[in-house]
Amino acid sequence: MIDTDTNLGGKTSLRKKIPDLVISFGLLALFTTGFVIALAWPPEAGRFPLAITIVGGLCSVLLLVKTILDTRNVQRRSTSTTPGKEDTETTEIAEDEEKMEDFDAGYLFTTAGKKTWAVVLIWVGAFFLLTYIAGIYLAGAIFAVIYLRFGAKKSWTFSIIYAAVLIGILWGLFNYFLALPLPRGILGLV
Amino acid sequence: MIEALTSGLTQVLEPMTFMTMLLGMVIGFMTGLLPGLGGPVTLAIMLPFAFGMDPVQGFAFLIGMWVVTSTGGDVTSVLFGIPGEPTSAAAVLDGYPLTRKGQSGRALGAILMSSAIGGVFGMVVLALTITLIRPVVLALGPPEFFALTILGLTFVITLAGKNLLKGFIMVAFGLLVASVGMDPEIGVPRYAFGNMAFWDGISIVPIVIGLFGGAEVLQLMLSKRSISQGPQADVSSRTQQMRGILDALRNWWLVLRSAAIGTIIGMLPGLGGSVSQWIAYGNAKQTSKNSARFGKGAIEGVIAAGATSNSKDGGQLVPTIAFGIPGGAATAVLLGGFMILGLAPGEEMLTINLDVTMSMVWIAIFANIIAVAIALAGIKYLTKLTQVSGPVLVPAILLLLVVGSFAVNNSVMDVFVMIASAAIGVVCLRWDWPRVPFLLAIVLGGFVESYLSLSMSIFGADWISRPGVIAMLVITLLSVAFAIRSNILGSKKQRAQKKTDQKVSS
Repeated sequence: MIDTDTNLGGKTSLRKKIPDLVISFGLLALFTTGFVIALAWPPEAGRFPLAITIVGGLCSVLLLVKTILDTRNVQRRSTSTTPGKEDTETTEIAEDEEKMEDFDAGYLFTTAGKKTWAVVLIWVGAFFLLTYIAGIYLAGAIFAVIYLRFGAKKSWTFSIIYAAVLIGILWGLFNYFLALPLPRGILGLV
Repeated sequence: MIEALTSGLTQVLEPMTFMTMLLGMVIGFMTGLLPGLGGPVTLAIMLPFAFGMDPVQGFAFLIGMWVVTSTGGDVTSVLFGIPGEPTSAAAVLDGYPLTRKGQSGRALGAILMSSAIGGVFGMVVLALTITLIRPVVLALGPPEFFALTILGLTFVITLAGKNLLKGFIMVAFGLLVASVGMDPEIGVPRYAFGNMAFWDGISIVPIVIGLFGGAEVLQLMLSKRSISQGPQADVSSRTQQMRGILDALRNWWLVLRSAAIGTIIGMLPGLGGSVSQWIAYGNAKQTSKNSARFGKGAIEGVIAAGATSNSKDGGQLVPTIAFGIPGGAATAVLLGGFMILGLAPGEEMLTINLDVTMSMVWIAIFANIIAVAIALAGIKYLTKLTQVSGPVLVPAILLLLVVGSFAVNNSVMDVFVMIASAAIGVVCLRWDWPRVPFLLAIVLGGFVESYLSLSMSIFGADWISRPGVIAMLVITLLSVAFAIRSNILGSKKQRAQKKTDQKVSS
């Protein structure tokens, strides 16, 4: 990973370590909670979760310590030497090319802007909420029409035909062919 | 034996039986394509249709349907990054990145070819060992199975890549998730928080779907591009397919090794394909010269996953036919088929009804080869789907995510589990935490605990001194030592390279 702002190498590195610190701290909290809960169970039921939470907790502490030490080392190095702009740029391009070559999902998640993320999460959230309320068939149809029209910028005709075919296949497959129930939603409409 | 094989073949080739097998295959392939609806669910739904059929015809329908679900699952994994079924999850890791690079034809060619070879390999092993395997399988008990699951967990070291510590934390997290539900000894509900839906534990299917499929749907929505981002021209060309097929043939040793892993692990009751695919994948990565490419589109990863996906079926049939002990969930349902068709697994299937057993071998071989041939012929059309604009696929994929996670237990809670797993998958991808060790630990967690508690209650502390356990623990230690050594050597190489680069630039 190369810092985008070479002059702020130390700070950027520190910023990059924060998610690791937060995740490992979160998992440490989870293992601690799991450990405390498992203490209340009889030994036969509790020994496996206790062993896991102890090992997981210790590994999380180790990672926390390692990340903090790494961050300090990076900060110390960044104050003593500032990387040459040319070198950094060259490495940065090479690394970016490698990332593009790999079609790395992490790269896309990292580079997507906050607004893009918010829009996507609102779409996904709306779909699941609608499914929970109105069931899969109705939610699927409504979401398909609205998302295709406004999210994918397709025509009304395309969106409606797509939604009808999609829900038709799903309905036919699960109602007639497989005879399996699908989520009906809390309203139980369909 | 030869006589039984010939008789089995003759019975399978009867027109009505063969047509029934083809019908089963169509159903199996279609449901295999749908995430969540794997072999066990399909078999359970279609089991009543076997009533009234004669044994060979019934098995032609059921086994023909079952063995091709894995093939369908592999196609979904490679093209859409959503595992068609849990046993196809490893195929996503390298198959989907290849699709993103515009090489879906190559990935499908390789996975289908290796899965066909693997499937035939598994069935040949079944035919050759079914009458001899009884004492070997009976010699293995819970302590050996426990040692084997520990061996499986050590592959985490390989799958975690350079983030070993993160890998171990994710394993612990996965094991913690696996411990949700009633404990295997005294039935105390653990981490259920009063919710009865969790008493049986958390189902693996919604976790697999969320962990892999959830992240992929977000990718499509964020990028607004088609799944395939590589060069358009040769995506589905015959050259690409042939390249994939040749990749599989060139890596014949890897195919056979992975198929052997799939078959052997498949033979061990309870472990099944979910475990064998990761062991084969880990082994392929460990022994590859291009291990750094794994997870980013390594063809060896696709081949290893493909070879296990169908070879496990032959292995699973061994204990099912020989002892009536199902090798996995699908064979447990298939046991119901034995009852429906008026057959009893065990001694009879190895003596009086050996021809029926051998007909099962032929059915699986034919089904594997035909399914792969048809899928190869249809690659051209299947890969076209990856050229469709990403946002257009989003509503369909979101529906599949919900349907796939709900359909296993008909539980809305599983949809929530899928959403939570999707969030975990995105966090892992965004901040470089390994997903696979988490999944592997969930798959193996239940086995580790129940085999350990069984070993302790049956053998006390003596279980550890059993020769099989010692042998497997030695292999485990050697595997760990080998992985750590490779890791250290890799780091040293990297450091040396950095120093050389710095010297050159200064």
